[in-house]
Amino acid sequence: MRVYWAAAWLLFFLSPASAAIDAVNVYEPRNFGYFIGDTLERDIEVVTSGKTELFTAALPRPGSLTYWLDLVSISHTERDEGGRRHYDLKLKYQIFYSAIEATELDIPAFPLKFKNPASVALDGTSPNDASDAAAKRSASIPAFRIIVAPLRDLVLVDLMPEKTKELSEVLRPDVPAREIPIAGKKQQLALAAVVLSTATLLLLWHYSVWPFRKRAGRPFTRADRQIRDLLAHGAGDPSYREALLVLHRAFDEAAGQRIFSNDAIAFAEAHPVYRGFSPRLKAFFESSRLYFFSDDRSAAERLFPVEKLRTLASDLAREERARA
Amino acid sequence: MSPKRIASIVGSQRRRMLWCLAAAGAIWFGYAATSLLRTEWANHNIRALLARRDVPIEVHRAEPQEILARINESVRRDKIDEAQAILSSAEAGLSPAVRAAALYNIANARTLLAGETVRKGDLDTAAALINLAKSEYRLSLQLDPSNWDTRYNIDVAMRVVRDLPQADNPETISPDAPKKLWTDLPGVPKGLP
Repeated sequence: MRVYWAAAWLLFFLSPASAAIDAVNVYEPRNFGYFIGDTLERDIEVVTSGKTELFTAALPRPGSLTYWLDLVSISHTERDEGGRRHYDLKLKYQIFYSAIEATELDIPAFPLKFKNPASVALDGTSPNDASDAAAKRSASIPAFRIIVAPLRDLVLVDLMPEKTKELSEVLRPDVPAREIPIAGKKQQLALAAVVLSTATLLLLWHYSVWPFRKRAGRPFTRADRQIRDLLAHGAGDPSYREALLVLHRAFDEAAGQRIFSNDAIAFAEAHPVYRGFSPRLKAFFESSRLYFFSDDRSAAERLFPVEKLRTLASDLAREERARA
Repeated sequence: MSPKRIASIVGSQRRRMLWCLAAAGAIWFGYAATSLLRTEWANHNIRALLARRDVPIEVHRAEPQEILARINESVRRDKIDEAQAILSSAEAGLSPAVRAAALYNIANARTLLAGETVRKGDLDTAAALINLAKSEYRLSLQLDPSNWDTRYNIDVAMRVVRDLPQADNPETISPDAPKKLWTDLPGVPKGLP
């Protein structure tokens, strides 16, 4: 018989139950000095091993627990550590007890539920100490006793029929509405206005319009605008002549000297931005020479019609803007 | 990327960048201007309500403080139900602090009303009002637990009408509850004479 018991003990210590609730550690806050409306947080750590798992769906829901106590929130996190599962529960309560004198109150206990709480060890032995086994099968979060103190000197006489004080004198005052501060919004508006006007000015400058109309170094932009104005009045012979002259002046200004037909290629070489325009520049100067230095004006217009002249001017203006 | 290259990219994309800047500036300006105008209008309403004029507001577009001002004015005019209705329809857009303040003000009004009712001797109505006030104070405290005025007033409200805890000890069930089931039924045997 003694041998049998010894064997049983040995087996028990060699192979402890494979699944168990190992610990429920409760980290309580202070248990005194609470007023109505106060909140307190309890941290609870549940450690399980093996197949045992805390049944988190069965944890209490936030809400009213008793007439004087609310469970504000409950959160849980899980982590595995050294083959054991740790559950960290955080319970937040709020007290609504109106104490007349310092009173002890119990935050109620509640049982924890587990999956596979009492698994049998692999070799078929079960713990033979009954209380030990019970401890490993179930657990609960214990009650917690706190002391709630009164908030004010309670004078019930104040509210009796022969009272000397009105209830409105006892109550704390209402929260008044206040005007919304607008200084920040005004600053933001001013800043936005600065950004918007800066961007507008930069755009005007980029397109050389109104305040920047006479912007230096933009001969083609001005020529383009003049030619468009000219052609808006009609595409007759005088306006063609005028347009040719305008574009000639623009070339002169861009190069800093008079440009003639022979200089066209040199001009394109000297200003890489306009290099792509070489053939059209040549055609322009050719037709201009025909127009001004021969009597065959219609041939010049055929060679380089007014539409082409306008597109050349606007293309040159665009390149000029892109370069600057 | 060398500074020169950045400069060239900036140069080539300048038109687009300027337009983007202008568009962003315009949107920002429009937003800031609308927001300022709305706030100015809200402040105008708040000033009117603080001056005790019964100005209507558009609950769904109003600023939180405007709603609070409107609720306070309704409460001041003893229209607690109206204040409650405004609060319920605006609740989603309000911050916890403003909701807590509105609930606190409504609960204060109810507590004062309950005090009046107690003086008239109508304790049942007073108890109902106090229960409402207590649940509002409680909600207000949940939203803003640090408010000492709310704590103080819920404490006061709990003393206006005598309030005995019922659920404190659940093991003592009221002994006459089963008997009452039969009192209204006719023909219940009353036993031998």
